[in-house]
Parts: sequence; structure tokens; C-alpha cells
Amino acid sequence: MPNLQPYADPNYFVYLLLALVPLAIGLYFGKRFVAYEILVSLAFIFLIFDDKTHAGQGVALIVYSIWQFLLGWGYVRYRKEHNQSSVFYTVTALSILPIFLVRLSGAGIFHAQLSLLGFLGISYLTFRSVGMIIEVRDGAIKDFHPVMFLRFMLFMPTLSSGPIDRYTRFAKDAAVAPAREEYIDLLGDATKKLFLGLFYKFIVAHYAEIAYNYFQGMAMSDAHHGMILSWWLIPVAYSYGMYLFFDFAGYSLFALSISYVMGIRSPINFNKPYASKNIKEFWNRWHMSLSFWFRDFVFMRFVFLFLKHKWIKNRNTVSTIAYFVNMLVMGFWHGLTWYYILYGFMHGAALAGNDAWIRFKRKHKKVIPHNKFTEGFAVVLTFHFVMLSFLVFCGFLDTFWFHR
Amino acid sequence: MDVKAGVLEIIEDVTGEDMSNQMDEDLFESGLLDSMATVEMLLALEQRFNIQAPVSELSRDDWNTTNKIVASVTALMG
Amino acid sequence: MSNKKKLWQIFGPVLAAFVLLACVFLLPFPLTHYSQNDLRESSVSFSSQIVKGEAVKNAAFSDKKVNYVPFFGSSELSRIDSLHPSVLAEKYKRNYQPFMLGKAGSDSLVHFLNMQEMQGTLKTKKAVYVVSPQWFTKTGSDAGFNLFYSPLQTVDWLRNIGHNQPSETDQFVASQLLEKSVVKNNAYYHRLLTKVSKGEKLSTANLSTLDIKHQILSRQDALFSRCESSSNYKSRVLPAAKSLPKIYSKNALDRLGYEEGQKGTTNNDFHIKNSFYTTRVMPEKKALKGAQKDYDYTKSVEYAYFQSVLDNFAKNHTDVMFVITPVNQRWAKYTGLNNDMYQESVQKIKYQLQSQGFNNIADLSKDGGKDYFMQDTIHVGWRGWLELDQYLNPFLSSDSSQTNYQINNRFLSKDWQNLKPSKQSLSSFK
Repeated sequence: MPNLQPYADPNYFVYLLLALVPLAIGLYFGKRFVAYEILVSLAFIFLIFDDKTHAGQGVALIVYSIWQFLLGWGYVRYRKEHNQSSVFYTVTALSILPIFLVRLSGAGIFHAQLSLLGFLGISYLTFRSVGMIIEVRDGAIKDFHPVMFLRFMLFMPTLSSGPIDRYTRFAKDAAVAPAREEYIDLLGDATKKLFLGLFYKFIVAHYAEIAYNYFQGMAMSDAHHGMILSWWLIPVAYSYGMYLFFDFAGYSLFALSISYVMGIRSPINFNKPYASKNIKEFWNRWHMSLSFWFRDFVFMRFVFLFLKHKWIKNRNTVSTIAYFVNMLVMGFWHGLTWYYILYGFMHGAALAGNDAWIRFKRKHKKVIPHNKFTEGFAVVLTFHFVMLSFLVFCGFLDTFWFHR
Repeated sequence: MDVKAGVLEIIEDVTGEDMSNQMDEDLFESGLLDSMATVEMLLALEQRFNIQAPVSELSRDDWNTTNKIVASVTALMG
Repeated sequence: MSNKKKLWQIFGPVLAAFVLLACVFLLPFPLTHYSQNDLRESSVSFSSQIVKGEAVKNAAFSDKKVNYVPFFGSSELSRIDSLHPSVLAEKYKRNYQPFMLGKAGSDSLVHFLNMQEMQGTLKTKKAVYVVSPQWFTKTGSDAGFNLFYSPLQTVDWLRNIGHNQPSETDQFVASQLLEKSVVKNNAYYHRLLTKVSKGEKLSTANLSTLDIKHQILSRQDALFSRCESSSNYKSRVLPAAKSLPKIYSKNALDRLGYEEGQKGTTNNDFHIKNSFYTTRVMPEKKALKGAQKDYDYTKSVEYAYFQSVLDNFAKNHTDVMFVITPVNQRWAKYTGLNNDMYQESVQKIKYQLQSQGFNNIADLSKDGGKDYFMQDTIHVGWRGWLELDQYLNPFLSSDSSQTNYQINNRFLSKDWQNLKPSKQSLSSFK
């Protein structure tokens, strides 16, 4: 059996698209072959984990799915009769527990064996399952459908790195076949996205990565004792920023394209993020499915709770705290290292600062100019701040400072 | 109680704009409602109409104009 | 618009793109032309792309104006200074010009596959093979393999086997490749190599799919192997040649090597070139003290890889000279590298060569203590290159002589790989 990592090389697309042909023909004629869809999903997941180096991860994925299945099933049953906050928080905590343990062991804080619980995609599956439990709590999900649950949890195109979908949205698409006209439009969009993705990931990101590696090498060879900064860190930051965007956006386009062929409109992930006028807009355009997830499930819930119980009166204080909580949780989710957490902190501070600036600007509308030039300046400023934060995020500083 | 009047009042309270002439204006796209303001609006709606607001599951397509908000609130009141 | 028309609008361009792509890959028009300058630069570019592909190698070794001779080796090839073989050949108008194949990480398995793409060359030309005892670690080097491997090498190799029964060497190499992830994860190569590893003949159907693969992969190689450009010849070889005396005199050149070495190694006591010392040694100097005292080059799978290369030379009757490199003695003392062990591994390599009739050996392994013989820790430079020239020039400038190699497949065995070399154990190994 060959081993196929998702979207890793051109062959993967050939195999996957061939396997999807029957499904696409079915959808074109208004039929959704659910059993076949599950079969293809499982087969391609199996092919990720079918060799010695990945087999352990495959087992972890199965254990993880059973765990989340039991939690989801149990909580829906419970929620029909009761609605205690303590139970909700316990179930949420249990749902987060696997990734929490994996992150702890990854940082060397806990038993190294716990990393055995990890597998490719665990961080993204956690969003699917936790999001679902919150939706149950809010009453958006009333019944537990085992098959739909598994189709959602193990939806293969977005398994490894998103985009992060929501159960209610997914279930709406997955229950039916789209109308023929709509499906043709979806196929058109899928084709465009596939080719744009190929261009992004296999051409632009490829060269950006070469540049990134080159500049890292130059920075390392430039480094001498006690050196804190090197000019080479500047191109390291920008080349990484380009690499990250084109690699991740390219990957996301693949995932969307395959989703569309399967008749599922997974949410988009990137919308010209480097053209954002401020950091808040940036997060509405960058890794959108993640930031919207955090917005809805962390930021808004946090603010809602604080305002409802009137724990803090001042709305600006509440939103500032919420920004920091939101971005720090995101930092922790990436991994327990100083640079991910600092990255979260930087963005929390930037979001809070941005709000403060907008309030100030509103108060002094008459004195502060607003025109094409200030907007252009804002775009440039935002871009450079983001690149600076990516220099932290990429982890090269850790190597540069502490592992020479 | 008139739902429409109540919703308009709350929106004006939160955004500082009277929307009675632009019932179909997209509140998110125009920047009038950000996440913070949305939460404040939902809280006010909860108290005024005694409904449970779907904070996290807020489908923005069903809540992006004043008209839609009125419809959603009416639906939630059952 | 009708649905059918819409579908055409979506998938028509995709189809057209595939047709175009097929044309580029399958139609028999030439894609590339290499100028004299391209080839000259390629000869000292040390690019892994050249090892991977066949286009540049074919063009260079069939060139009518310059007699390029393949130099197989690893990191030492790139130590260009005034007495580097490429510089001496350029300056003194030798009737050969070295073409360097390899850089850090290319060992015998890499070169076995590399050679599969240039069997014709090995039949007609002499060759130089630089062996570094550092290759002979317990499990061989894996990182290097991925850098130099291309499916085209495997395709060429399998086509070279053709309808013949795979030899013991072929079976051994196939079984080794099956362990490598780049090969293992490809169902097609996995199937064919499993066959070869079991000694089964390839079928006619197998060979015709290999022909198609070859057509596509060699096109790809011709299209992309020119992307990497280098200017080492212009920027390093030519200026170095300019500074040499007009007439070759070993003594004068030796003095020059001594002076340049002295000038170039002023910031350390190891006689290591300054730039190498600051970037590669200094940052980890403390950690390196005594770090190599347990190194062992006497038992290694590399001995079997090396045997595969010898088998390939024998098959093509290549007139080949082997070079065995030394380590910088001052440096070895610091890192604790065991000199007896080093010499034992050299004896083992030499026994493997001589007992099979490979008698052209430039053994420099005992010269690592001479002043400015080495450019840095394990790479010859200055006076070392000049010493090597005393072997290379007579060998390469003369006509090819008849070879008489007797291959012994026992050198592929685990017994040999793990044999602890001593006078007795070597002479009793049959």
C-alpha cells in the first residue's frame, strides 16, 4: 500500500479526483452517495496512516474519534433533560483534554508518552468537536445523528489543517445534494481554486521557502557570540510571511476545491489578508475559519458572560481583556512555546490598541485626517506589524538566540 | 410589545444610528456592528424580549440587517 | 447557457492544458542546448541537480571540444583554491578537465545511482573516485540520499538491467532502496524494486512502462536542470589560475601552497581556513572537544555500497583512480578521533580494492599532519591538492589501459560490512 500525505504531491490529486468521480456524477444527477462518500473519506484517511512511521497516529485518531463520539452522544442525551453549567464545562474540558495533553508533552512538561495521543489534524478536529458541544449547549443542535456526526468529524478534505467548519452548517449541506445549476457553479469554482492552489503552493511557496531557508542560513552564519539581532532577520521575517501565506492559502484552496467537488461548501480561509487596513480587519481576512471560530466561541462568549453578570462595568476594559484572552488561547493552541505565546500576546495588544486608536479618532474626528494616503499608510503599517509578529511566530528566533 | 420598535431602539442604543429608514442595511459590512456591539445588542435583546440569544451560533446571514434581526427575534419568541 | 456548455467552459481549458503538457513531454524535439560556458560552470557547480539528472552529464561527457572527466566524491571537491584540480587543469592546458559530481552527503549509494545515468561515459572515459572514510559510519548517511535521489536514476538503472537476470549487486541495491521512504511510498517503484530484490527478471511490459517513464522524466530533467546557475568557474577557478606561475614546477607550486595556507589560517592553531573556523568550528568548539573519540569507520553498510560502485566500474571496464582522503591531524587530536581506527578502515578499503584488481590508488590518508596539506578539518587543500596532482596528472594525461577486475560478491555481505579489519582478518577474507 502506498502512503499518501494529503495534497503533498501531484499524484495525490490524481488518485483523489479519480476516486471522487462517482460521487461527482451522483451529485450532478441529484443523488448523494453517502456510503461511497464515507468509504472514500476513510480510505484516504487510512492512506495517511498506513506505514510504520504513521501507524501510531492512525490508532490515536481512532481512539480520539471514539472519545469524541461518546462525549457528543452523552452530552446530547443529557442536554435533552438538563442544562447545568458545570456539566457543560466538564464535557468541554474532556473534549479539549486530548490536545491539552499532547501540547503539554510536546513542551516536555508532561510524560513524553502522551504525545502518542497526537496525530496529524488533532488541533483541527478539536475545533469540530468542541464547537459541536457548544452548539448543543446553546440548543442549536437538538439530536445526535451518529452517521452525520462521523461524516462531520472525519470529513477528509479538511482533516489535516482545516478550514474549520461548523456542524450545523456542514449538516445542512451534507443532508442533500445541491441543485444541478448550483453544483455546476461549485465545480467551476472548485477548478479555479485547485489551479490557483497549485500555483500558490507548488510554485510561489516553493520559492519563498527556498528564500526563507537561505536567509535563515545567512542569519546563522552572521551570528557571533552575544549577538541579539542581525540584519538578516528582516528578510527572514518577510520571506517567512510570504511562504506561510502561499503555503497555507494554497493548501486551503485545495481543501475547499475538494470539498466543493463533494458538494460541501466549506468556509473560506483567506481573503487578501496583506491588504488589511488594520489588525482587526487582518483577522477578518487571515485564517478566517480559525479566527471566526475564536471570535464566536471565545471572544463573544467571554464578553457575553462578563457583561451579563456585570463583573466589569466598563465595556472597553471588557473588550481589552477579551482580546488578550482570545489571542493568548490561540497562541496556546498553536503550542506551548514562548514564541507562540508571545505571538498571541502581540496580537492581543495590537487589537486592543487598535480599538483604543479608533475611539480616539472618533472623538477627534475633526483634527485627524482620513484620506487615501492615510489608508495606504495604514495598510503598510499593518503589513509590517504582521511580518514582525510572524518573525516571532516562525520560531527562528528561538534557534537564533538559544540553539546556536 | 412592538418587536420592531424595541429592536430599533436597542440598535440605536448600541451603534448610535437610527436605522428606521434603512431596515435592510448590512450592519456588519457597514461596520456598525462589531463583535463587541453584537454581544451588547444580544444582551439587550435577551433582557427586553426574554429570549435566549445564540451567542456562538449567531448565523451572521440571519442577523445582518434590522429586518432580519426583527424576524429572528420574533422566531425566538416563538 | 446550457449546462453542457457550462461544463465545457469549466473543463475545456483543463483538458487543453493537459494536451499541451503532453506535447511538451512526449514530442521528440530537443529542449535544451548547453553552451561551452554552461558546461564549464556546471563542472564546478557541485549541484545536486546534476547528480540527479542526465541531461547535463550527457552533454558534458559527450562534448567534443573539452575532455571532461568525471570526479565522483563529496564535500572535498568544492574546496577550490589555487591548487585545486580544476584550476591546475585550466592553467596548464591539460588534455582533461575535471567534472565534479557530488557535494556534502554524496556517498557510494548516491554515486551508484548517479552512474546509472552515464554508463556510456564509464565505458569510454577514465574516472576519479574520491573515497572519504567519513562515509563509513555504521548505518551510512540517509540525509544525503534524499538530497541526491531522483526517480530518473532508478528508471535508468532498471533499463540498464533490461531483460537480464538482476545481479547480486542489483539485488542488494534494490533491497536497500526499498528501505528509503522516497522509494517505499511509491507503489510503482516499490513493485519493480521488490521484483529486482528477489532476483526476478523484469517483463517486457515492465520495460515498456519504464520507457515511457524515461521519456517523461528525462524531459522534466532537461527542462528544469538548467534552472540552477553557478559562477564558480568564472569567479573562483579563473582568478586562481591567473595567479599561478606560467610554467608548472612542483617546487614553486608547493612553496605557493605553503604561503597561501599560512596566510589563510591565522585565527586558529589547527591550520583550519579562517572562514571555516569562524562559521563552522568556533560556535561549537567546546562541544567538539573529544566528541569523536568513539567514532568507528571500520564497520559499515557503506562497504557494501562501495562494492556496488566497484561492480559497476568492473561491468563497464572503467579505468578508474581511487583517492583516499586524510583528516587534519591537529584537529583529530582535539576531537579525539582514533587514528588507529582510521588507518584500519583505510586498510579495509584498500584490501577491498586491491583484491579485486583496482590498483590505481592515491592513498593520502597518512598525510593529514603535513603543514597546509588540509584546508580545514577533513578536506584537503593547497599542498594536499598538489600532492594529489602527482597521481592524477600522469594517470589522466596518459591513454587508457586495459583493465582486469575480478569482482567478488562476498564484499556485499554482512560478514564483510561487519568485519573488524586486521592484517589477519583481511588476508583470510575470501
